Amino acid sequence: MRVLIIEDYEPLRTSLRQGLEEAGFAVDASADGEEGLWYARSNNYDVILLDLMLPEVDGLTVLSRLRREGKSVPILILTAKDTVEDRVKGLDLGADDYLVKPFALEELLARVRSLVRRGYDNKDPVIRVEDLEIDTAGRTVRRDGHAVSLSAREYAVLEFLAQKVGQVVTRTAIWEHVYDFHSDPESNVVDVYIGYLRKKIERDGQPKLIHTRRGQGYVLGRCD
Amino acid sequence: MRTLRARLWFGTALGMGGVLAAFAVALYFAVSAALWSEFDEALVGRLRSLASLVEQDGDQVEFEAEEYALPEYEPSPHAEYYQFRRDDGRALGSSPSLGDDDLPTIDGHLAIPGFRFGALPDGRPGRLAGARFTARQERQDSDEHRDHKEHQGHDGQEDSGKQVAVGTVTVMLTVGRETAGVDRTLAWLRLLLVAGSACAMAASAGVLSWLVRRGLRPLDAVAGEIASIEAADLSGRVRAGEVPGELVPVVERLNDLLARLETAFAREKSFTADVAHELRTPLAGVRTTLEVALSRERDAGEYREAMGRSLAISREMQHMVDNLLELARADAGQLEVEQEPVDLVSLLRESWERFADQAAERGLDVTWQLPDACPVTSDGAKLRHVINNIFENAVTHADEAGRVTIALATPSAGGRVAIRVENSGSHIDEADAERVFERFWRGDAARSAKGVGRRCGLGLPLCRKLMTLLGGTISVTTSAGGTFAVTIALRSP
Repeated sequence: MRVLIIEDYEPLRTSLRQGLEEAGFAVDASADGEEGLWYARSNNYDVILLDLMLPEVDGLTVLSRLRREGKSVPILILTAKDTVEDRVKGLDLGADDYLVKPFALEELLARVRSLVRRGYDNKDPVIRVEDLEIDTAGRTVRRDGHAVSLSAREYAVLEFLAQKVGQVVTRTAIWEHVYDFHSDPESNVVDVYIGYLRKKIERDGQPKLIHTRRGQGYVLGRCD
Repeated sequence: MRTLRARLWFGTALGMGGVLAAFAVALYFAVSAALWSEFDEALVGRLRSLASLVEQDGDQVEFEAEEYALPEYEPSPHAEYYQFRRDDGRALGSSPSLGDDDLPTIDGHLAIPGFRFGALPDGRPGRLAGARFTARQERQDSDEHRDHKEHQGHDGQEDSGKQVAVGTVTVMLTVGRETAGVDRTLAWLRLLLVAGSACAMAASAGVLSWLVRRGLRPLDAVAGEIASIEAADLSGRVRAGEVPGELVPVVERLNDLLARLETAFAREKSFTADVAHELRTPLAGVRTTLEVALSRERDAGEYREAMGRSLAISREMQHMVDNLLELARADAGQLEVEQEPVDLVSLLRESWERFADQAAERGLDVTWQLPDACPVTSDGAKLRHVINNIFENAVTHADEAGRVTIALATPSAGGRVAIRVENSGSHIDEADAERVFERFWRGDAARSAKGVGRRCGLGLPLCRKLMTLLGGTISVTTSAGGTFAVTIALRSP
């Protein structure tokens, strides 16, 4: 899942990026509103973390512009402004959540995960596909009751497929939600990870769960 | 009497009462004068008609009263009196009612008789009028008259005419009449006026009270509007359009005051919000940095990096808190200036030491334009604080590999010493130049200043406060080329 941080305070930006990356997110970060807006327009983020007092273009303007342009990406406002007035204003302009600084990292991560689920219309943090269980909160995967150990990137690819279970997902889409701007993956990296995933979750003649749609992409689970 | 209502009511009632009383008194005196004048005219009438009955026949003075019926002079409880005398005091005649008593003689003429109040012989209060006149000469040549007189005399009162010596005879006549009628009328009038006035006063007091209350209703309305304005929301104003003209200036002043209060409250509120914001943001930074660092086992290098970042943030916070406290003390007037000899040149050089590394790191081209020494008398610690803030701004905001110029200009004799610190790479518009002295104001450039921590927007406001305290000035200028210059000026000894 890919997250954009728009925060002008450098030490916080750096730590947030590290914390989110270590929690398995692909992270882009921007220090001002204008650049942040550009990032948000050019990629499909799963969540945007938005500070309000920003140079160039302030946070509320970024928010309202994105919403006016029809972007439905979940946005979490992250700010030191804590008055009810500020919260109401932010939420009314189309933010999905509001967290006041300073915050607990745990809570931030939980809220981001919750926003990711909401973005895919999934309420249940555990996604079940046939006998495959993906716990998006604990980041664990079980098949037929047995734990499956995945690398961070493999998990990221699987979670994205799982969030869009039953839908054809293109390589580009997978790529977009698993890598950030800083990574420079090989062009066939998605296929490589799909191969790894298949080896791990479709062992010992278990039924196939990841299907290839030639020329389109991949589908997790049954597809009509 | 504390309320306007009571004062207005009392004042108006008192005024009305006074006018009413004056009117009543004037009315009383006018009526009484008219009554007495009428009474006097009646007395004069009696005087004249009685006088006309006196005739001089030769040296005889005749009084012909007996020839006419004059019932008012007969003895009775309401009898009137008259008495004739010659001017030598001899009695000529008197009303039957008088009996053996005398009336006083009163000087006057028939045209202008004399008047006097006094008790009548029977003790009743009365008024007397008197005149001295010459008895009319009987016309001897008038047969007709004589016949008539003879005819009267024939009626059986022939001896009533008094015989008076020939020559003009002066007769003094006094008439008296009781005043009970006028006195009664006046007593009634007095009663009427007093009672009437009292009733009118009582009624008007009620009406006045209502009128005053009604008249002051706009005040109540204004009070109500004022009461509805609360400290939490000062945006309300008293509507001047609906109050009476007299209250408009009051309402306008009040609205001005409210506007000023609102501004002050808003400033206070935004200051508090700014302080909260400026402290929370680095707090969030340090907390997140430490939480991320502790979220898993790491090697020493990673821990060291996180701790280094946390330390940098806490230094920033300390700097901000120091500035904030200093500013608060300055605001509260708790800072004292200690005058001492200070050499500005060495002060500048020493202060720069803290920033030299940072300037070198950023590749700044630093130019010095200093004399050998510049001794002044001032507060060295506060000047150092000011200069540190200015240097920090210059080094932080100058563009990468930009210029910083530090110049000190000494006047030839007396006047002011000026220190000018200039840096290139400023993004502050000329229009915003003065805003650098606003607390928590930051240009966008200051916000995105990378790597060197963030500026909290308190440095220059504090500098201005301190320079004012030191009796100096601080100003900034910007130029189109992106040059930002801060100049502080101090009085030279």
